[in-house]
Amino acid sequence: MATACCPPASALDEAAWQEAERIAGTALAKRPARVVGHLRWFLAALPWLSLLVAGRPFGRLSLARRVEVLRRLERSPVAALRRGVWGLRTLAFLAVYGRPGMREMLGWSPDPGGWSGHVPADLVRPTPSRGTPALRLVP
Amino acid sequence: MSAWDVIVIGSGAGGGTVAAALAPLAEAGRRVLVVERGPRLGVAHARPDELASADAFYAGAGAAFTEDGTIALATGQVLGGSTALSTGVAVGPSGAVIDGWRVPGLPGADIEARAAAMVRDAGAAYPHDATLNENNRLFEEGALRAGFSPERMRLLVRGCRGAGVCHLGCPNDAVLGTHALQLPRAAAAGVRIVTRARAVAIAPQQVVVRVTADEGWPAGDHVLTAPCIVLAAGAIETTGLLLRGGFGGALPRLGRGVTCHPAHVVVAEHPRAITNAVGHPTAYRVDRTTEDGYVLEPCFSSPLVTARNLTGFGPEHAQVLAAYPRLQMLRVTARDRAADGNRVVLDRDGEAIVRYRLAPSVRDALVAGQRAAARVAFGAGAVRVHVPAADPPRLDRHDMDALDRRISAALELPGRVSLSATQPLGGAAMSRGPRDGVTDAHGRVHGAPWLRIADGSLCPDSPGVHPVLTIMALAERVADAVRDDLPALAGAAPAVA
Ligand SMILES: Cc1cc2nc3c(=O)[nH]c(=O)nc-3n(C[C@H](O)[C@H](O)[C@H](O)COP(=O)(O)OP(=O)(O)OC[C@H]3O[C@@H](n4cnc5c(N)ncnc54)[C@H](O)[C@@H]3O)c2cc1C
Repeated sequence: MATACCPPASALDEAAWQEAERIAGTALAKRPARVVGHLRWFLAALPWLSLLVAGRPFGRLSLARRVEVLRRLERSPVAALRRGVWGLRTLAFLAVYGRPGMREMLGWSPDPGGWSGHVPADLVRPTPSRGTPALRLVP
Repeated sequence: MSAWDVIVIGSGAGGGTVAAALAPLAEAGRRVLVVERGPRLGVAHARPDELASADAFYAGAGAAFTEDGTIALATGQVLGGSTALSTGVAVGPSGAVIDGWRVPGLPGADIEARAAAMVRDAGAAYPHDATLNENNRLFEEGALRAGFSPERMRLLVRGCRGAGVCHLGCPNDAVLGTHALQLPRAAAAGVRIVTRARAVAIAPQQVVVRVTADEGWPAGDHVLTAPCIVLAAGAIETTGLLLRGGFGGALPRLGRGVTCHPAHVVVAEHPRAITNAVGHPTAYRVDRTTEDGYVLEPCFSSPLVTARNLTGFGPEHAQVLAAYPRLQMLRVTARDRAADGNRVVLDRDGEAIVRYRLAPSVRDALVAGQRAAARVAFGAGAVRVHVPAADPPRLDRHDMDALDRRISAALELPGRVSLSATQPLGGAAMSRGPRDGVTDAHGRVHGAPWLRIADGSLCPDSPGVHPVLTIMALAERVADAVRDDLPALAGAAPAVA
């Protein structure tokens, strides 16, 4: 499920998976019961939904077919199904991209120094705006 | 039990402004208290962290949603409220819009004048050319090429170094939220501020405050009394406190008419790395509210927020995120209008929650805004644009001529597209009387003169995208009335044991 939503999950080793699961668990513990309940319901329904949509339970589908099933559910006229996919994929993103080191891998290294911080010099040098002929200002 | 003259619940745009405006009372020896649910921000982030900030500074640990789970609601739960996490965009209120609310005794010109004075006082300024990053420049260039008229916006910031992490709490304390401007002034005048303290119940001239890990007071429940209590806990929580307090019986419109300015993020991929994560995120806007109901702006968010904001999943989603240093981001915000069905209600646990449905006009505005955003991004040289209401969301340059077909209202399906809102308003609106709203033009709750409201919940309708100055100006008027009314209220207050 996580890999179908978030392909970088396939590269996680055992320790990284544990970390991802910990992050997801911590996040879920802070969600209202209503939200967690909906996710649970969706996960429980997924094998049956998959049977309906793809003729096999979710767990027995290839990765590409899993993605396809989730895509179909994501476009479903039933809002609860769309929300189910959205909730699960968001949790997967949180677990995978929320791990230490991931943000740097993606190229995000925020620095309180801002312009004078870590960003390579050719990128940071602010150049004059090519800009608007007559600058319009919001009052 | 401890006795105060005025208790202000919440320290954001509304509460912080009231606290500062009541400073003369504190200087004159009156006991004024601000009760804030969140912690102090501090300049704590040598290393900005998405998960830690969401957890520490946002309501619902950064994962609050509308009742049906389709719109993420981000509001600050920290000293200074949402203003402490804002980008500091300061858009003056429109007197005409406020006059259109038809609240007796609320002249739009007065709100305009107060907001203008606040802007002067804070020293809000237009960002200089030299501080603009490419995410902003590309917005301007693309907007001009697409035939729009971009305008530069004034910012409530001081000493911005362009750390680019406003939404995590500025590590340089550059955002001039109430935590930086109004609350320090109030504290210097003797206003007491207690943090990590949640008002859980209100009764006539009494409030129960639950203090957790403390920054001043012992943990546990505290019963506080005051002849005047000002609710400024934000549109959702203020309305929730009133509903829990049983005010709904006498005030049938309590909770109704909520607006939130739902927004999409459109993400564009450029062929080269651009300056995006460094620099102030939002210096421009294209305002199409009158014609099409939306505002378009540059924005930029950290990877986790970006991952959530993107619609879809799987390999395409991962490819967009992998292009992070090359991404340009644009926010499409709809100016929704107050509708009866959109309201704050209490859930099974008694917590306030927003019941909200996208009106067809809002959906159309969001779709029009996404088409415009795609045109702006392609106009700025993007090679691909990721648009929520397209299926698949990825559009290439060769799709440029088919934007109206590819980006469609039929695909703007709640739950499928990622929607977020940072500006919930209404729920305890100003009105003529108790049948059509909750307070008068000075935030006095109809039928409960000891109780005042001074935050975004006062707005009977959307004041326009970027409401902070409007809320502050309204709150200042509320504080004026508190100062005027206090002697009479104190005279009528029951003696405290
Ligand atoms: C990330 C972000 C960026 C934004 N950027 C801009 C911008 O650039 N320009 C603009 O105009 N607007 C912006 N906004 C919106 C603007 O900040 C809000 O509309 C405005 O601050 C709302 O004011 P308020 O007083 O109603 O609520 P808030 O400012 O949210 O303050 C409410 C306060 O009450 C506290 N509270 C809640 N419940 C309780 C309780 N029970 N007891 C005690 N305290 C409680 C909260 O912790 C919070 O501190 C932004 C919002 C966010 C979230």
